[in-house]
Amino acid sequence: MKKGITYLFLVFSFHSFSAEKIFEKADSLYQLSDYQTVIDQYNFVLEKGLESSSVYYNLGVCYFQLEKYEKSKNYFNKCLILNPENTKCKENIKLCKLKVLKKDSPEFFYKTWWKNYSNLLKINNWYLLSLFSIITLLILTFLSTVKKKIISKYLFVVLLIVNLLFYLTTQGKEKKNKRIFNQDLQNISINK
Amino acid sequence: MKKLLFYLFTLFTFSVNAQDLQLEVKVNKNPALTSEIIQLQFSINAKGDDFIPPPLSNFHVLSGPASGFNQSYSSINGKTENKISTTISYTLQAKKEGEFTVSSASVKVSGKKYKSSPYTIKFVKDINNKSKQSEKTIFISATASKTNVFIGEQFSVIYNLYIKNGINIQKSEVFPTTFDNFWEDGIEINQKKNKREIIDGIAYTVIKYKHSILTPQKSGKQIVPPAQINLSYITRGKLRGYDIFNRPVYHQKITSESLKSKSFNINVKELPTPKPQYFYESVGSNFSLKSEIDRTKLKSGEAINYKIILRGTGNINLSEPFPLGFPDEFDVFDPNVTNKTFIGNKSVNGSKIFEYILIPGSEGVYTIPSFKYSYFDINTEKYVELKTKEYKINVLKGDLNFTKDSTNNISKKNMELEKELNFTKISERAKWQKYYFISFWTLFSFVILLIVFNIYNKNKTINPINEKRRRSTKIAIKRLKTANKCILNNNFDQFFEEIEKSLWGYFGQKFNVESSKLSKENIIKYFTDNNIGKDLESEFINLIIHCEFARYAPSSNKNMEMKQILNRAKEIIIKVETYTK
Repeated sequence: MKKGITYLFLVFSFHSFSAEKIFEKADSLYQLSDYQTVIDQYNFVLEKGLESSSVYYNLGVCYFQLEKYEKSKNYFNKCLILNPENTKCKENIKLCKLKVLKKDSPEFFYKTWWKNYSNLLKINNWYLLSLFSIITLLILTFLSTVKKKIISKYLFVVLLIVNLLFYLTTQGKEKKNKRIFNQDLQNISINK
Repeated sequence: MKKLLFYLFTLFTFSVNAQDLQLEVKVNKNPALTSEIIQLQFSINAKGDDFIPPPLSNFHVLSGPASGFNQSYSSINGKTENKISTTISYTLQAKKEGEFTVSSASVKVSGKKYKSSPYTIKFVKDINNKSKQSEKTIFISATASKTNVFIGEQFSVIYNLYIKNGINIQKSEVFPTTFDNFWEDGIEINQKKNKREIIDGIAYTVIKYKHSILTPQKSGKQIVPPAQINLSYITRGKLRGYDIFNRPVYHQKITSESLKSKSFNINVKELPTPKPQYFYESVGSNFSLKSEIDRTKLKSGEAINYKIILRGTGNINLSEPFPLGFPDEFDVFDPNVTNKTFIGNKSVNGSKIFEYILIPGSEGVYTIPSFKYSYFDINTEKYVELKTKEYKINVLKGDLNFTKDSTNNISKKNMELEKELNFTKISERAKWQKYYFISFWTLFSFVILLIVFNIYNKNKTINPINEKRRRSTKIAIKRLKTANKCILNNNFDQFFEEIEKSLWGYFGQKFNVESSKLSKENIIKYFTDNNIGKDLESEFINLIIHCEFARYAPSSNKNMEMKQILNRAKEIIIKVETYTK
């Protein structure tokens, strides 16, 4: 019976693709605890080129139910990238870590510093901050060519370094995000 | 224990050293029948000379010593190996039954003497009884190392297949034996190592085909079931005739037989009562219990790795995680069991590691108590109690508090799907990134360009005349300062000279006038050119004239005058500066 229903849903979903409908279906399938089909549904949405933090969150939940904690953690991480304020997601990541029980080896202090520092802002805000600071720097340099001695040499150098630091931060965050989104692809290719 | 280990090590090292060169003794049949002809062979992996044979007075030497020299080259993957061996062989027969020792022989290899170890050959009296010979050509024997054991005490059972010499086995089918009420650990058997044994004057090849360690699970009389093998082999039948060399030719008779060993009983005793509280069916000897912890200070929500290592000889391979009373606030996961046991000849030994992950739920100071574990020592037939260490654990407040429920199954039920919908296109995620990358580098290059431009411009605008002008006031002020010093020292002459020089110097530097052209006319000219007021011009000239006169004409109130003149000079310089700016 359960399978029959899932097939029915599948047939429907192929007929009329609408992300909203799939969401509803997925929810009812989830109630039937047919998690694999729910995952298939969401993957279908992702294949269509649409994404949402909730899709990743729900995928994480499904994999959690299937006790595939590594994958689950990965999806929760993706959700967190799109929606950094999701506290539930953060908690779930911790749960997954506990379940996987991969003991975090003590990180070097500078790594934790970097982590804390780069997590101060969302990636988009980092972009904005970096752009804002470079524009101010540009204005200051422009003014100092027209009129002499607006800012001291040292302040100028400091500003330049700060700008480069911001740039590096954004690049680091970008890389991390990319890694998280690509992890899944690698997993799939390994499984195949 | 330490001593034993030491001896073991020394033995090992000796064997390694001796592996290089050794005079080995080999006998093709041992034990042998008195009627049998045996071959004794000495061999060494080198070119040997001066072989000194052992006394062989106990034997009939039928032939020998025959020495052989063997050399072979082999090249595998570019590695060439040169194998040389020297063998000296004898053909012997015993004079009578008994055990005879071939004492050590020696050989010289490049000046060094190598000795063989003494070798004992056993000779058994030959009984040529034909009726008996036909009776037992193949049989199985089963032997147990112990027949009277406690529950859980391990013992070994060995099944041997005895085959009379000269019998050619065509086919064999081994039926598996199962042991009821026993736990069985099989030992892999090296098939190549066959022994020779003589029973009742008949030589047999002995094949050990099954060797198991059994652990009794139930008390009472337990039966070790018989082993069964189906064999077919060829024996000599009737005389068929003679071949062209006048040798007898026999019919070949193929016999198939189903062999069964005798079954026997094992008496399994109950363990003595009362059993201690922390007894978990471990029977054996030399058990030890150890605990390890990776940290004692942590934040709540973090995990502790707690290990219990059980080591010993006996039924340790059957031991399972035993209940431990961790503090209630700890979340305990099922232990990860690592089995590091090895099957020995008579029992199993090794260690088992139970690895627990503990997650304290809330902060506080907890103790992991000392856990007790008892086992039954088979040597002393008494229970022995083992203990682990006690640990104090300090849990600090963590970032996230996990209640006990959250990590267990309840967390699964709590997980619900999100129902909000806000889809975006996946391709949009990277959009920001692209724009940012381009805009950052364009802006950055602008900044760099401007800086370069600035530096270039600065170098261009530095102009010697401007620089002189700027320096003029500095020099004037310096002069005035020395003049001020002169007031304090009452040095009148120098004072007026300094003032005069400072004024002329200031003028010259300011308006870039050569020192040869310094004159009052020029002052008027440059002042009018630069639109400086007439009164300032006259004041400037007056001051210079005044200084000139003052140097030579002493006046009564010089001290007051000097201060006035200094102030005037300062004022004039400041005024000129304000005009020229």
